[in-house]
Amino acid sequence: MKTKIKNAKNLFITGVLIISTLNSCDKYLDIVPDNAPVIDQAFNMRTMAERYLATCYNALPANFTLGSNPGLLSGDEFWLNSVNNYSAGNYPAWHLAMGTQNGDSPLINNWDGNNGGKNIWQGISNCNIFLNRIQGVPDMTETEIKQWAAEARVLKAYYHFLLLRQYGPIPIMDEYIPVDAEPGSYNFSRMPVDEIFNYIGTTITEAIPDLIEDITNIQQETGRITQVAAKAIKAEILIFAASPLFNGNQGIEANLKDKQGKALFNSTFDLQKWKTAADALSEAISFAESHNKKLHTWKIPGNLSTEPHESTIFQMNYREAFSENIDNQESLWYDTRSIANGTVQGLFSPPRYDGQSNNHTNLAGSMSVTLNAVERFYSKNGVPIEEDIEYPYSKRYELISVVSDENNKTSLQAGYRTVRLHLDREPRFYGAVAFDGGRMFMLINTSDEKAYNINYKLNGNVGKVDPTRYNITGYASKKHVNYQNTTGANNAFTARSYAYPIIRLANLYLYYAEALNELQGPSEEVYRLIDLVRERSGLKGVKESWANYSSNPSKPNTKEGLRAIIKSERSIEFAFEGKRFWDLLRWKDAVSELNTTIYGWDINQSDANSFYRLTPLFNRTFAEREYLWPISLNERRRNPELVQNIGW
Amino acid sequence: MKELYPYSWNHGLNRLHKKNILKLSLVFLFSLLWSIQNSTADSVKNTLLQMQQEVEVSGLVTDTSGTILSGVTVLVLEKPSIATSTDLNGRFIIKVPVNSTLKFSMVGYSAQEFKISATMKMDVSMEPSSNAIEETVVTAFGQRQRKQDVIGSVTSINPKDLRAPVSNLTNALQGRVAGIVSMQRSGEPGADNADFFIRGIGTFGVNQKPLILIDNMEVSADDLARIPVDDIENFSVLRDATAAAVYGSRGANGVILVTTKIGKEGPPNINFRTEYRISTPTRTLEIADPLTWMEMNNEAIRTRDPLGITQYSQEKIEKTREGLDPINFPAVNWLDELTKTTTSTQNYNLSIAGGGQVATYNVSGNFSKDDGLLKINPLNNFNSNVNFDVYNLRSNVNINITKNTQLMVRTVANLQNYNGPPVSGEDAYKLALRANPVLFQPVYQPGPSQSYINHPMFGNFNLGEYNNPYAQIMKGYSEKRRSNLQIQLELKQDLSQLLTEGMNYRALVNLTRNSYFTQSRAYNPFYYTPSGYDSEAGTNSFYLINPESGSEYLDFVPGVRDQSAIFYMENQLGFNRTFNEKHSISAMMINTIRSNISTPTDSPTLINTLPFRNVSFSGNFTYGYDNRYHAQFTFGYNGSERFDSNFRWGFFPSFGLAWNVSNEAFFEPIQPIVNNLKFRFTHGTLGNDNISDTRFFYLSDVDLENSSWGYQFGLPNAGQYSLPGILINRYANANVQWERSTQTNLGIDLGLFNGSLTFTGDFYQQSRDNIVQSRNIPSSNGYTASVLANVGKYKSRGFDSELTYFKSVNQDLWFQGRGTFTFAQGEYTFYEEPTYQYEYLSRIGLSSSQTRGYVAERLFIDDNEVYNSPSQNFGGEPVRGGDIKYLDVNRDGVINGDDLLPIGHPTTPELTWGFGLSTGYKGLDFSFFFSGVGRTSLFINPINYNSDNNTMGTAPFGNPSSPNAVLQAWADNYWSEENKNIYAIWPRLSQNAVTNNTQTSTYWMRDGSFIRLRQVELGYTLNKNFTERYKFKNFRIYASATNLLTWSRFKLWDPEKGGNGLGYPIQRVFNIGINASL
Repeated sequence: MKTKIKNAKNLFITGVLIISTLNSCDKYLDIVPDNAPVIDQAFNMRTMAERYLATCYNALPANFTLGSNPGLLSGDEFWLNSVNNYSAGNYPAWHLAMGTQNGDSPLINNWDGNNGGKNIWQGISNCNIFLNRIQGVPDMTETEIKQWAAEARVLKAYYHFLLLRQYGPIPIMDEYIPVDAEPGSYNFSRMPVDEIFNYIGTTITEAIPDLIEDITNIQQETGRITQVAAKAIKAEILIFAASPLFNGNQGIEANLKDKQGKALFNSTFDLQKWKTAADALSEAISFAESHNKKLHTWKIPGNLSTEPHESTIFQMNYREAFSENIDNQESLWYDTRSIANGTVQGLFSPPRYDGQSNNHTNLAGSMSVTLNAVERFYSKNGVPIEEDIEYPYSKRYELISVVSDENNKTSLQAGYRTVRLHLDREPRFYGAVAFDGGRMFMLINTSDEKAYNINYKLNGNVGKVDPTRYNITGYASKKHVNYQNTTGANNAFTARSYAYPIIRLANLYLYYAEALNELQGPSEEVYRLIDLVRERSGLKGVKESWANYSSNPSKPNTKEGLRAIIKSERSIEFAFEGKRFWDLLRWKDAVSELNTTIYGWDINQSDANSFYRLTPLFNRTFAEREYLWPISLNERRRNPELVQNIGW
Repeated sequence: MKELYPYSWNHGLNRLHKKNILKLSLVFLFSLLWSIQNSTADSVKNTLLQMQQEVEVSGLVTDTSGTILSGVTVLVLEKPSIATSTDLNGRFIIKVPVNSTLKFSMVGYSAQEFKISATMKMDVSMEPSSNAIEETVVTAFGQRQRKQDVIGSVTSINPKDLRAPVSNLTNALQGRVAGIVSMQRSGEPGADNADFFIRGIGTFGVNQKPLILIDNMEVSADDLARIPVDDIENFSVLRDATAAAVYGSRGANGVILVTTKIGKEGPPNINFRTEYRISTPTRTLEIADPLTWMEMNNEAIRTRDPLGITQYSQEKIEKTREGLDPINFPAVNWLDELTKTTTSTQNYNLSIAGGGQVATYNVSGNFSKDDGLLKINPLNNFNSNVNFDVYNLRSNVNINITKNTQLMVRTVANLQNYNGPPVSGEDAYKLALRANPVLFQPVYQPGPSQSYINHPMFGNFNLGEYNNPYAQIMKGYSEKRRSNLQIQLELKQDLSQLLTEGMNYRALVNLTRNSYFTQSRAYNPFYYTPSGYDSEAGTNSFYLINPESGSEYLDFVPGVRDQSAIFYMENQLGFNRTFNEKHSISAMMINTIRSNISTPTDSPTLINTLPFRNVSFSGNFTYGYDNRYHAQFTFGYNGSERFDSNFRWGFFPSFGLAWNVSNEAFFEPIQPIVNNLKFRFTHGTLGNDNISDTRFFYLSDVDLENSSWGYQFGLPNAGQYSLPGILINRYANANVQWERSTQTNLGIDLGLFNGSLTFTGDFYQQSRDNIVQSRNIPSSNGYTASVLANVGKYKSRGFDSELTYFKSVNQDLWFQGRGTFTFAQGEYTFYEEPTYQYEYLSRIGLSSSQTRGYVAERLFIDDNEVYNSPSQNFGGEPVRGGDIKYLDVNRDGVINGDDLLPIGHPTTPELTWGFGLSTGYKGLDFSFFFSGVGRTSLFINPINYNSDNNTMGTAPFGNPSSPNAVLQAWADNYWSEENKNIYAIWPRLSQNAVTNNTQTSTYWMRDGSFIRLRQVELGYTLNKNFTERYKFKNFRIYASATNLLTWSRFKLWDPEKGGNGLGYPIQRVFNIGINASL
C-alpha cells in the first residue's frame, strides 16, 4: 500500500509538472518584439508622415529614365543604333516604336509595373492610405495637414490622369481597398472617360486652396505641388479632355464598351470642353505670372572673352529653358527626382567633342535625333522650310560649302561641306541640335566664337568609334547638354545636373493659344500667345512671318491653318522634351505622323558625298489601336470586369 | 504587439479545445499506468508469499559481440509473473524457485532458456536472431522497434550501403532509400549537396524539405552531408503520418533519423580507414573554337541588323586562323586555361571504441580533403584553387551511474575549411564561359623591357572593361570557415523499480553552436594590352590599361559572419511491457523545447535576430496482441512562435493498424515459403510550421526607411532634399496558420524462403492543405506586396518499395541484391487562380514542378512566314525567319498566355529507382549499384546571362564585354541564312537572346531521365590468419568508383544537373581505400 501511495504521488507530481509547463510554454513562444514596425508608426510623428508623403510622390514618372520614357523613344524624335546594343529589356520604349507592343505582356506597362513601367496604382493606393491616416498625426499643425493632404489629392488625381492618358477608360480608385476585402469585391470596371476627367478636375479644384501658392524654399520644396503647379496640371489635363482623342472620338475607341454594354468613350464632340480648358489656362497663366513666372532668358556670364552673338543669345535662351534650373522662372513644376546627370546628358551629347574626353564611358552619345525631327525646325524666317518661299527646300540635301558670315559663324563651321538643310535655319534648330558641320558652344569655350566643331563622319571628332556607343543618325540633342558641363584631359567629364521641367510656362501659352483657337478661331490673343514664345528665340510674329515668307501667307487666318501652326510650334518649342509623342496621341495625329520612315545619315562614311546619303533606319508604323495601351492578359484574368482596348 | 494578443485561457476557444484533448489524453495515460501498476504490485506480493524455496540468480547479458544488452526480459517460464529485465548495464538479479526455467528474451535476439537449480551467477550471451522478421528499426526519438511490430512506414538502410567514395552523404541517397527522391545539381566541393525530398514534393509551399535529426537533434542538410558514414549506427526514414506523428508540426515532409555509434564493452577496437580519390568531370562541356565563335558573332549581328557593325574583320579571323601571332591575334579556350580535368581527394577515418562496466566509449575522427578543378598561377604566392577540408570529431561516452541510471555524453565537432578563388567555384566556371576568346590572352609574359614587373600581366582590351576570368580567379582567394560544436547529455533512468515494471524516463539536453564566416583577399588586377613589337629584342611590349585602379597588394573584403546557438531539451516518459505473453503495451510521452538564435550579417534585421522557438508534447500508445494484431495511436501537439497566438498550437493525431497474417494459425502450412506477411494501414495528420520565407508572417512588415520608395525634392546645384519612403512589404494576416498534411499509408511486408527474399511496399496518399499562396488580386488595388493566405491545396500519391535478396551458396560464396523503386506524383487540388478562359490554363491537376510553356512547332522559314502566321509578339525584338514558331493552341490568331500548355514531365523526377548486387567469395568482394530517375524533363536555359540572379544560360554572346561561349552543339546545327534548317537545334543567331526564343517552350525541353552506374566496388579482405599475425582483426583493401557510366538521351551535360548545365560539373570519382581494425 505504501508504494502505491508513493507511486500515486510521483505520478501526480509528474502530471502537474507537465500541465504547468504547458502554461509557461505559450509565453516561451511569444517572442515578437513590442515595437516591430507597423504602418501605424508611419503616422505617429511628422517626420514619418513626411516620408509617407514622399512615398506618394514616388509613383511620378521618372522622365530621365530614357529606356522607359515613351515620350522620348517611342515617337519619331530619337532613335538608337542597334537592337544588338539596346535590348527590349532595357529600352522597351524604343522597342515600342518598332511595333512590338502586345496585349499579353505590354511594354511600358504602367498598370502592373512591368517591362519598363511603374505600377501607378500603387501611387494611388499610397495616396489613399495617406489621406486616411494623415489627420491623426499629432505633431503637425492643422494647416500643414491640410496642405499635405491637398498635395496627395492632386497627386492621386494626376496619377489617374497618367493612366487615363495611356489606357483611356480606367477604374476610379478613390478609396483604399482593405487587403482582407472579399475576393471579387474589388473587380472594378473601367469608367467612362468623361467621368474620369470630371473626377480628376473636381479633385484638383477642391485641393488647390489648401496648397502653398509657390515654392519659397528651393532646396526643400521644389518638386512639391503648389497652387502654381496644380493650376497648370489641371489646365493640361483639361486640354487632354478637350482634345480629339477624348472629345468626340469617332475612331475605333468609340466602340469600346464595358461588360455591361456601357460606352466608355463619348463620341459626340463638345466645344464646351475647350471652353473649360481655356478658362483653366487663363487662370493658371495669370496666377503663374502673378507669381513672377516668366519665359527664361539666358543670363550672359561676365567672364566671356567676347560679346556673344545675337544668335547665340537666342539659342541659349531656348537651350537653357530646358536644361538649366537655376534662376529659371519658367518651370511651373519640376521632376526633381529624375535628374539629368552625367550619364543621362552623356547619352544625348556628342562624345569626345572637345578632343580630350576620348573615352569617357558616360559620354555614350547614343540618343540619336532623327532627320525627321531635324526637318521640322523652321527656316530662319520662322516658317516651315517646305513653306518658306526663300528656302531651297527641294535642294535641301545638296552639299554646299558653308560661307561664313557674322550671323552663322558661331553655329556653323566656315568652309565645311554640308547639306543645305543645315543652313539658314531658325535659332531653335541651332540651339537644339548638334550636327555635322555645326558647332556646340560650352561655357568652357569662354567665347561662342571658340565653340566646339562637330564632325559626325566616320573619322570625325564625334563620329563612330566604339562598337556599341555611337550615334546612328548624325544628330544629337544639344538641348539636353547643359552648356556649363566641363570636359578635359584624362577623360574628365563633369556634368551640371538639372531636373526635368514637367510644365514650362511656354507650354501653358501654347496650350492656351490652342484652346482659344479651337474655341473661337484666330484672334489677336492667340497670335500674342504664340509670338511670346517665338520672340524669345528671335522669331518674328506668326502673322508677319507667314505673310512675308510663307507660300501659304493666309494660313494663320483660318482656324485649321492656325491649328497646324500651333501644332508645329509645339513640336519645335518642346522638341526632344518628351511632349510630342503624347501630343500626337491626343490630336489623333499619330497615324498620319508616325507611319513614317525614320531617316539618318550614313554615319559609316568618312567623306561628305557618301555621308550625306539619306539612310532609312526603320519603317515606323503606327496602327489605329496604338492610341491606347493594351491591358495585360494577367490583369484581365485577375479582374474579369476589365475589357481590353479595341484591337489588342 | 504583446498587448494585442495577450495569452489567456478564455482567449481562443479552438486552442482551449485542443488543450483539453491533451489533458484528457494525459489523464488517460496516467490512469492506465496506474491500474497496471496496481495489478502487478498485487500479484508480485502474492507470489512472494507462495514461494517455498528460492534461489538467487544474477549475471550479465551481452550479445555475441560483447555489447551489453539492457532491457532483456528475464522470466520464469513456469511462472511468468516472476520476471525482471536487465538494467542499463546489462545486469539482472532475480529470485526464482528452484528447478524453474529462466527464459531470456529480447527483440531482435533468439530467446534462450536455462534450467536453474541453485543460486548462481551466470553470464548470458544472446544470439542475434537470424530470422528477418526479428529485424529492428529505429523509429521516432531513437526508439528501437521490432520490424514486425512496426505499423508506420519506416525504412532503415544499412549505413554500409550509404558508403560511397564521395565526401558528401547526400550524394549517396539516390536510389538507395525507398521513398527518397534525390538529385545532385553541382559537383563543387563544399557546395555539392543533393536536393532530396521524401516521397517527392508534397506541397507547393516554401518548405518541401524533410526534417533531419542526428541523435535527436534537428540539423541542416549540410550537417547531414558532412557526417562520416563510419559514424552512423542507423539511418532511418520516417515516411508516413504515424511514423512521424510525434514530430507533429515539423514532420509533414518526412523525417530522416540518424543515430551514431556507441561503444561496446570490451577491449578497445581501433578502426582505421583511408581513401584516396581521383575525380574528373562526368561530362566535359564542348565549346566551339574561337574562329567559329568570331564568325558566328559576326553573323549574329548582321543577321538581325544588316547595318549592324560586326566586331571581327576577315583579316582578324584569318590571322587568328594562322595562329602565328597569338599575342595580337589570340584564341583562348578559357575553360582549358582555368580548369584541370582531374583532381584528388583524400579521406581518413579513425575510431576507437570499447569500454568497461562503468563506461563505454566510441571516439571517432575523420578528415577529408577535396581539391577543386581550378588551375593556379605560379606568380601568385597564394592558392586560389578550391580546397575543402572537413574535420569531424565525435565522441560518444556512456556512463553507468547506477544499475538503473545511465548518462550519455556526446560531443561533436565539425569544422570545415574552404579556400577558393575570390568567386565561388561555380562562378569560376560561369566566368570562364562568358569571356571573349579572341581579344586578349589570359596573362602575358613580360618582355625584357618590362621585366621589372612582378605582378601577373593580365590581358584585357579597350578600357579594361572586359571580363578576364583568369584575372578574376587568380587575383586573390577567399576563405570560409564553418564550425559546428555540439554537446549532448542524455540521462536514462529505468523506473521499473521506482514506479512500475517497464517504465523508464529519459532526458536530453543539447547545446549547439554554429559559426560561419567568409572573407576574401584580392588585389585589383593590372590589365595589359599589346602595344607593339620590339623587333630588336624580338618581344612584344605591352601597354598598361589601368595604372590607377590596379594594385599589387592584397586588399581585404569582409564577407558573411553568421553565428547561431541552439538549445534543445527533451523529456520522455516511456512504458513498455508485455502481459501474459500476448498483450504488449507501450506508451510514451515526450516533451521537447527548442530554441535557435542567430545573428546573420547578411540580413541583420531585428526580426532575424529573434530566436526561433518550438515546443512540443507528443505521445504514442501501441497495443499488440499475440504478435498478430497491432494498433497504434500517436499525437503531436506543437507550438511554434511563427503564428499569432490563436494559431500558435497545432494538434496532429494519427493512428495505425497492422496485421501479421503469417503469425496466424491458418498460415502455418505455407510458412516455409512465405515466412512473413504483414499488412499495415495508417492514417493521420502532420503539420508544417515553416510556411514562409519570412518570419512573423502574420504581422505586417513595413519598411519605414526605403530609399527607392521615397522622393527627392529641391534642385541640383541649389540643394536637394531626399526623403526615404515607406514600403509595406507584407500585409498583416492574423489568420495565418499551419500547413496541414493528411496522410494515408497502406503497406505490405513480405518475407519469402526463410527470409532470403524480402519485399516491402507502401502505397500512400497525402493531401496537403492550408498551403500559403499569394492571392489573385488585380494590380489596380495598388498593393505593394502580394497578399498571402493559407488557401492552397495539394495532393500527392505514390508508391515506394524495396526488395532484398540474400543467398549464401556455401561457406565462401554469397550474394546479396537490393533494389528500390520510388514513384511519387503530386497535383494541385486547389490553387486560387483567375478564371481562365480555357481549362488547360489551370494549375489544378498538375504537379508543382510541372512546367507550362508554348508548344514549339519548328523555326519560321522566313520573315514572310512570320507575317502570315498567328501574331507572335512577346515585346522583344521583331520576330524573324529562323525564330521559333509556336502553336496557336486556341486558334485565336495570336500567340499569348492563352496558349500555354503543361509540357513534359515535372522537373523533379517522379520515378527514382536503384538496384545493386554484392557478392563475395572468400576474401574477395564485389558490388555494383545502378540508380536512375525517370519521368522528368529538363529545360535548357536559353538566355545569355542574368546578372540579377546569377543564372548562366546557354545563349551565345550577350553583353559585349563578357560574351557567352558557344556550345559546340549549337555551332553544329543552327539556323542561318545560308542553311535555313527549320529543325535546327538553335534558332537564328542574335547578339542578345531574342525574347521570342527565350520563352519557355517545348523547343528547350529535353528528357531528363537517366540511368547511371552509380557505384562499383571491388575489395579484398586479407586472410584472417595472416592479418592476425600482425595484430589486425581485419584488413581490407578496396577500389571503388562512382558515376562511372551514364546513359541518357540528353548529351550536352550531365543530366542530373538539370537545366543549368554551365556550372561546376558533377564528378566521376575513382577511389582506392584501406580499412583496417585492430
